[in-house]
Amino acid sequence: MEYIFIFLLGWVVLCLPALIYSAVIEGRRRRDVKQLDDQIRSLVNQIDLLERRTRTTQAPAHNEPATAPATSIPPRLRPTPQPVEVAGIPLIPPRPQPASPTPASPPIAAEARVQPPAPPALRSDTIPAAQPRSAKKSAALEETVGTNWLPKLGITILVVGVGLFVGSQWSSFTPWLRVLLLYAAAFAGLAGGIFLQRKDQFRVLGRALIGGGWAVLALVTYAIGNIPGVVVVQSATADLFLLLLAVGVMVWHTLRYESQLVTGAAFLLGFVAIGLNPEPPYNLIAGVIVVAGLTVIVLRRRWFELEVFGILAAYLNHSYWLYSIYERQGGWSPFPQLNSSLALVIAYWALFRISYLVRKIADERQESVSTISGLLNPVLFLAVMRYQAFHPELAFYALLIMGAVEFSLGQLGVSRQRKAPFYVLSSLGAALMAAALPFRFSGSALEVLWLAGAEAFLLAGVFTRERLFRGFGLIISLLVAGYALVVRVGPLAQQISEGRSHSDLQLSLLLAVIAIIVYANAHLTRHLWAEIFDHDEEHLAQSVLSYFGSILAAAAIFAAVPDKAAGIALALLGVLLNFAARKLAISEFNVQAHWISAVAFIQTAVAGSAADAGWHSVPQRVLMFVPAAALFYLGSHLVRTSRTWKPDISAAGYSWAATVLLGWLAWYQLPPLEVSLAWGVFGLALFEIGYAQKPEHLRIQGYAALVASFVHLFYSNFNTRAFGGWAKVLGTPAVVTVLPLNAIFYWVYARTVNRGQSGAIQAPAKTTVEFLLACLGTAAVASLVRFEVTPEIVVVGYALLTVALLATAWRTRQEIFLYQTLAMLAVTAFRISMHNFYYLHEQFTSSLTSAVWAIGILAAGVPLSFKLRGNEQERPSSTNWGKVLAHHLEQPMFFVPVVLMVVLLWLKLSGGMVTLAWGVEALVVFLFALWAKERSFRWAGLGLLVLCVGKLIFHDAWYFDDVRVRYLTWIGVGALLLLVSYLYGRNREALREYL
Amino acid sequence: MKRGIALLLLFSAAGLAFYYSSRHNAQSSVGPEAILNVVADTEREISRVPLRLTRLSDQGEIRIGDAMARAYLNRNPAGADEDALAHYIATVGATVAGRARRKLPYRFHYIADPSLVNAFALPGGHVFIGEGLLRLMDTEDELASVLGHELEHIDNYHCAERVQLQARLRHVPLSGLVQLPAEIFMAGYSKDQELEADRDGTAVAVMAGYSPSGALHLFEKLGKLHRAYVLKAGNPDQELSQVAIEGIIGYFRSHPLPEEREQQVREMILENHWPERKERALRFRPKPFESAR
Ligand SMILES: [Zn+2]
Repeated sequence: MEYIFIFLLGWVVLCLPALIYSAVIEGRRRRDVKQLDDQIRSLVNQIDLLERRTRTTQAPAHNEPATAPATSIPPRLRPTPQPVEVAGIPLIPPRPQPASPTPASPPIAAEARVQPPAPPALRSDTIPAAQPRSAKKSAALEETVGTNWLPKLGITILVVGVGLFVGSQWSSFTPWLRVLLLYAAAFAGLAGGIFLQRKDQFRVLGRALIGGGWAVLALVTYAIGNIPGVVVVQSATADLFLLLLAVGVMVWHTLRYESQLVTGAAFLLGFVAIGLNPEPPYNLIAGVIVVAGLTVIVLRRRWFELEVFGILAAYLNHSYWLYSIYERQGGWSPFPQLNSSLALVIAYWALFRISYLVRKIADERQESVSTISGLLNPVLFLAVMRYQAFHPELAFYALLIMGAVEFSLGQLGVSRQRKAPFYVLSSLGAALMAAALPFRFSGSALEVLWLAGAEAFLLAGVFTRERLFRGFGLIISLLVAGYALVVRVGPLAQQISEGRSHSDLQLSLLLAVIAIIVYANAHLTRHLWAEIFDHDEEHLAQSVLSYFGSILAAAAIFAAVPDKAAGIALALLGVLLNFAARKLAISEFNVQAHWISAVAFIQTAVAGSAADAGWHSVPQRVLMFVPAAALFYLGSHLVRTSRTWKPDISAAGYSWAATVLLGWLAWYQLPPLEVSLAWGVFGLALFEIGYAQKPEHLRIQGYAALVASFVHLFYSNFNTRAFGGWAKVLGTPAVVTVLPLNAIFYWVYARTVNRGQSGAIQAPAKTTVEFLLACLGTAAVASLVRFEVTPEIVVVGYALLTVALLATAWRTRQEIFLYQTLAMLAVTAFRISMHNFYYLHEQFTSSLTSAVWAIGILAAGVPLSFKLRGNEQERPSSTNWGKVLAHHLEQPMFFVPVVLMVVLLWLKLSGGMVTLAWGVEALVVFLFALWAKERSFRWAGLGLLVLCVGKLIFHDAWYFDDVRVRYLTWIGVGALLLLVSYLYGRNREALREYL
Repeated sequence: MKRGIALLLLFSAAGLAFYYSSRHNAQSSVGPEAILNVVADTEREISRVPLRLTRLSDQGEIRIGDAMARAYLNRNPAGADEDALAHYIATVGATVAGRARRKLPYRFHYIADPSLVNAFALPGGHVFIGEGLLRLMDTEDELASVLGHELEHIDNYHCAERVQLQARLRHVPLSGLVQLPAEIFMAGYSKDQELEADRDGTAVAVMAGYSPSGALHLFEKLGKLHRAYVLKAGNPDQELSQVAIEGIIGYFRSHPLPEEREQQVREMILENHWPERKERALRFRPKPFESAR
C-alpha cells in the first residue's frame, strides 16, 4: 500500500508540471490561431473596404448626377449605424459615422449612400475587433469553463462510470445484449461527437465525445473477449485482433482532427479503461498494442507531448495492475505472470527509448519535451521494476546494467548528433550506476531511485541549459527529502521521544546518502553553475534543500549512534558545518550548525542525566560532557570569526552551552562539598581566558560561575557547623574547600580593578561586576565564619574580618572596602549585642571571652582607622549619612567598641565594680583621645566619667549596703577624676590647639 | 610573571583543597537548611529587644500554659496503667528542674503514644515526653538530658516569646490570649535556640548529678536514625514501625542535625572538664510492643 502511495505521489508530481506545461503550450497555440484569425479578418475587411473605395472613386467619374437618386431614398430606409447584438453581447458599430452627410466630406458621404446593407455574417465578424477587452475576458473565462472544461470532465466521468459498469457483474442481460448496448453507447458518443465538433461552439465537447466514444469502443471490444458476462468472442486471439482493429481505426479517426489533445485523450482513456479491467495477460498485450500505436503516431506527427502522457499512462496502468494482483493474492510476493510482466515492462521501456532516439526534432521546444520523455521513461520503469522485483540482491547489478545501457545509448551517433540525448542519457546512466551501491546497502530504498532520477534531471537541465529540467531535478530532490523526513525521520523522532531503541544502521546509511546528495544538489550546483541557477525560486529551493539535508544528516546520526554518544556526534556535525560555513562562506550552514548544536546540547544533557555508569573507572558522564563541551567551545571559536548573523551572540551561545555542560558535570560528579570550589576554579579559568583573549562572554561566564559557586556554598558547605576551636574548624573539609574560593573571589576582583585603572574596561558593567565580586569575597568569608564556627566565637571572626577589611581599605584605597568595613562593623556589633550578650549567663560557653576578644580586636582597629584617615586628603561632604560614616570610619570604629564595652561591663560586673570599671574605661578612652587628638573621643571619655559620677551619686550611694564597697568606689572614681583633670592641665596648650 | 605565579598558587591551593576533601571523604547534607536557619536566627535576634520589653509576667505565662496543658491532656489522656512510669518521669524532671534559673511550678507529663517521637515544653512549666522518644532511650541520663532540654526552652523564655509572637500574629492582647494549640510548641525553635537549650539542658542535668554522656548517646542514636531514614545512607539497626518512622522524620525536621548537637555537647564536656559518670539504666520503661501485636 505504501508503495502505491509513493507511486501516485511521484506520478502526480511528474504529471502536474507536464500537464500545466502542455496546457500552457496549448493555450499559447490557440492564442496564436486566434490572432491569425483576427489578422485575416481585418485583412479581409480592408480588402473589402479597398474594393468599395475603388468602386466609389470610379462612380463619380462617369456618373455625376448620381446624387439625385440618393436623395430620393427616404431617410428611414438608409442603413443606420444602429448597435447590433450578436450572441447576446451588445456590440458597438465599427466606425463612428456622422449623423448627417456633410458637404465637406463628399467621398464618405457618397460611400455611406452607396454602401449596400452588409450581410450579417460579415458584420458580426468585423464588429468584435472593436469590442472592449474587459467584458470579453470575464465572458471568456465563463465560456472556457462551460464549453471546454465541463465537457472534458463530464466525458471522463462518463467513461470511468462505463468502465466500472462493465467491470462489475452485470447479470440481468444476456452477453450479446450487453455488448450491443455498449457498442451502441460508444457509437452514439462517436456520432454525437462528430456532429457536434462541426459546430464552432461545441467543438471541444464534440471532440471529447469522440475521444470517449473511441475509448468505450476499444474497451468494449476488449471486454467481449475477456470480461465474464459480456464474452461473446471465445478466442482471445480474435478479440485481440478486434482490439487492434478498434485502436487502429480510433487512431486513424482522431488523426483527422490534427489535435494532440484529442488523440491523447483517446489513448489515455483507452489506458484507463484497460487498467480498470485487470484480466491478464490480454490487458497487458492490449497495453503494448496501444503503446506501439501511440509511438508510431508520436513519431509521424511529432506529437511529443502526447508521448509524455503515453509513458505515464503505460507505466501507471501496469503498476495498477500489479497492485491489484498483490491485493488479490494478499501480499507483495511473486505471482505466476511475473516473467511476462517483466518482459512487458522492458518492452515499454525499449519502445519509448527507441522512440526517443530515432525521432526527428524540429525545434528546441520539441527537444525539451523529448527530454521529459527520455527521463520519465527510465524513472518510471525503475519504479515499476522495483515494485515487481523479488531478488533485491540482483537490483545492484540491474541498476549497474541499466546505467551502463543508458550511458552507452547516450554515446550513439544519433544521440551525439542531437546533443540533448547525449547529455540526458549520459547523466542518467552515470546517476543510475552511482545509485547502485547506496541502493544495495539501504535495503532497496525507493528514495535512492528517485534521487537518481532527480540527479539525471538536474544534470540534463544543466547540460542542455534547460531551466525546466533543473527545476524538475530540484523539485524531485525536495520531494524525496520531504518524503524521507515524513516516512523515515518522523517515526525515528517518535522512537527517540518515546525512549525506544532506534539503532538502525541501514536507515542511517540511507539518510546519510540522501543528506549528502541533497546537500550536493543545494550547494554544489550553486558553486559550480552559479550563472545557470540564477532564479530566486531556484535559490529558495537550494536553501530549503540545504536545511532538509541538515535534518536528514542529524537523523542519520541519531539512527546510527547510541544515545549517549549522539550528543557528541551531533556537536561534531555542528562544528563541521560551522567550519564549512566559514571556509565556503555559506550562511545556511551556520544556521544549521546552530540548531544541530542546540539539539546536541539537549541530547547530551538528557542522556547525561541518566548516565551513571562508568567506563574503565572513568565516569560515563565525563566521557559524554567533556568532548561535547570541547566541541561547543570550538564551535564558538569558529562562529566568532565567520561572517554570519551576529557572530558575537552566536559565539556566546556556543560557549555558554559548553560552560553549562562542564558546570553541570561538576555538579553531577563531585561530592556536594567540592562543587562550589570546582565551579570557582572553573570560573577563575574562564575569567582568565576571557581576560587574556577577546571574547567577552567567557569573562561573563566566569562571573556567573563564581556567583553560582557562592550560592551553592549555602546549599552544602554551610550546612554543617564544626564545633570546637579554630584549628578544628579550619580542618574540616567544608571549610578547606571554601578557603581557596575566597581567595579566588578577591583575586578576580583585584583583576577587574586593575583593569579599571588602566582604563580598558567599559564603565557601566565595570562597577556592578567589580562591586559584586568584592562583596562576594567578603560575604563568603563572613558566611564561612557565621556557619562554620561555634556560634559564640562567630563574633571574633567577624571582628577580625572587620579589621582586615579596614586594612584592605587602607592599602587599596578602594571605597568599596570602606563600605564593607562599615557593614561588617554593624554586623559584628549586632551579633555581639544580640547573641553573645544574651548567653553571658552560661558559665560553660565562651560567649563572654569571645565578646571580650571581639571588642578588643575592634578596638585594635581604631589606630588603623586613623591611618586610613591620613590617606584621605579631603572627605566628601554629603547628606548621605552612610557615605559620611564610611569616610569618617574612625568614628564608628571607635564608638562601637566603647559602647559595647560599657554594656558588657554593666552586664557582667556587679555593684560598685561597674562604676569603677566604667571609670577605668573612661580614663583609657581619654588617654586615647589625647593621643588621637580627636575631640569627639575626648567628649566620649568625659561623658563616661560623668556617667560614673551620676551612677555613684544617684544609684550606688543608695543601694549598696556594704559601706566599704561604697567608700572604695568613691575613692576610686575621685582618683580617676583627679587624674583626668591633671591630664587636661598638662595638655592644655595642645588641647587648645585642637579644640 | 608575578601574576602567573599567583595564579599557579591559587590553582594549586584549590587542588590541595580537593585532595584534602577527598581524603577526608566528608559527607554533608545538601539542602537549604543553612539559609532557613540563618533567617530564623536573625529574626529572633532582631525581635529580642522588643520581646524583652513586652515580656509576659510569670503569672500570665503560667495561666496560659496551664490552660493549654489541660486542653492537650484532655485530648491525649495518659494511660491508666502508666502511673508508675509517669511518676518516675516526674521525679527525674523535678531533680533536673531544681537547677533551673527561673523558679516556676515545673510539671512533667508522659504521653503514651508510640508515634510521638518527640518531647516539648509549654509555657509556664509543662514538659511533655512521648512514648516514641522514650522507647529510644536506655538510661535515666538520656531521659534527664531530654527533660533538661525541654525545661531550658521554658527557662530561656523560648516558650514565653513564642506566646508573645502568637499574640502579635493574632492581634490579641497578651492578657486575652488563653487558648493556643499545643502543637505550636511541638514545632521546634530556631537553630540557635535549640542549641542553647541543648547547652543549658545538659548543664542542668549534669548539675543535678547526671552524666553528660546520656545526651551524647541519645544524639548518637538519633544520628543513626537520621542517616537511615532521612539521608537513607545505611541500613537501620532495628526496624521501626512506619508510624514511628513518620514521627522520627518529623522530629528531624524540627531539630538541628544530631551530629551538630552531639559535637556541641562533646565540646562542652571538654571545656568544662565534666567528670566521667556511669549512666544509670531506666528504672521504668514503656511496656514492650508484644501486647500490641
Ligand atoms: Zn528543642
